[in-house]
Amino acid sequence: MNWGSEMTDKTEIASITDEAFLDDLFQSARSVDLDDAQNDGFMARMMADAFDAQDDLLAVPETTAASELAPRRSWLRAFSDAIGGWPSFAGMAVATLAGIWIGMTPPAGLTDLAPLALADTESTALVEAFGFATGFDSLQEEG
Amino acid sequence: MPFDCTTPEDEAMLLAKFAAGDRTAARVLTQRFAPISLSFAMRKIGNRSVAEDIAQEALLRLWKISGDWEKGRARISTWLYQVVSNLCVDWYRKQKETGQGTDDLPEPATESSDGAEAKLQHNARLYALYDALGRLPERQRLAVEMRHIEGYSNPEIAAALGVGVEAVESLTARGKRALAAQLVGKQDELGFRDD
Repeated sequence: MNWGSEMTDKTEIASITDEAFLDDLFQSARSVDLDDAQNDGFMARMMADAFDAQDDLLAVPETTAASELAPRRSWLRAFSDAIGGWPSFAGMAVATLAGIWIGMTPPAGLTDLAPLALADTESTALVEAFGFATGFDSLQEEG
Repeated sequence: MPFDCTTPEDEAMLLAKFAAGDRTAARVLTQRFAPISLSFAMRKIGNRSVAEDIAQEALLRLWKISGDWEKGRARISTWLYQVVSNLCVDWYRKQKETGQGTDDLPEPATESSDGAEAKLQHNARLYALYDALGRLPERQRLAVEMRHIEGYSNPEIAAALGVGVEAVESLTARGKRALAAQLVGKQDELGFRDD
């Protein structure tokens, strides 16, 4: 406790009288007669409170553990969250329907192209048929 | 001594043990800080029962944060002082709102002029002081109380409030100016004689 430092800010108070008045009031507050705090009943209650508080603190992890046992998210919900939610599902559905539609009613050009792509010798024919230049011909000519 | 309680580190260690369920730490902390809390409250609230309730509430708050107490934090006593002080301000406000008088205020330790009149004067002074303190911003109030009533040093107050020593001096000075402004004109009413 440091009563001596009280004088340092005296100049901050507007009037010496005000300062003395405040000091007088502070002195009244300091002079209060304190009861004996070591009252047995009070201390016993404080001790019981402390033990109860400890028990409550130790019970907190159990509460946390219980919350961890709460129903887990379904795998569908987790998957949905992982791919971005219902908009992604909508996109996937459209793509699936488009695939089925193309499979059932393929465009005419696709049916012609498929046997060429799957045959052994078609790579040359495909290049020739569609006029794709590989670039190797010109390189060979340049030597 | 494994359960010494003289340094901030001791206190932090004891609170950590408390939070871990150590009954001995609970006993040491309670025996050390329950009387201190009660004294803080009794200085402001004369009613023993009310002071005990306030001290009890302050300690319960300490127990609740025991697991989160930081080593570099203020001392437990100054932390408790702040909690008790705030609870006492609430009590004074309720007293005022409900129109309660000053009967419950504490007795002076040394009655230089014995008698009921002196006691009434003393109570009126305390009521006026704590009423005015309760109107200050919290930090100003705590700085003024801790320094001028409880006698803490500026560095102790600075640590408790988490500010620098210069800020404490500023808070104290502003707090006293505000107090003086509130109490001006009450010198005669409160029995002050500027000899």
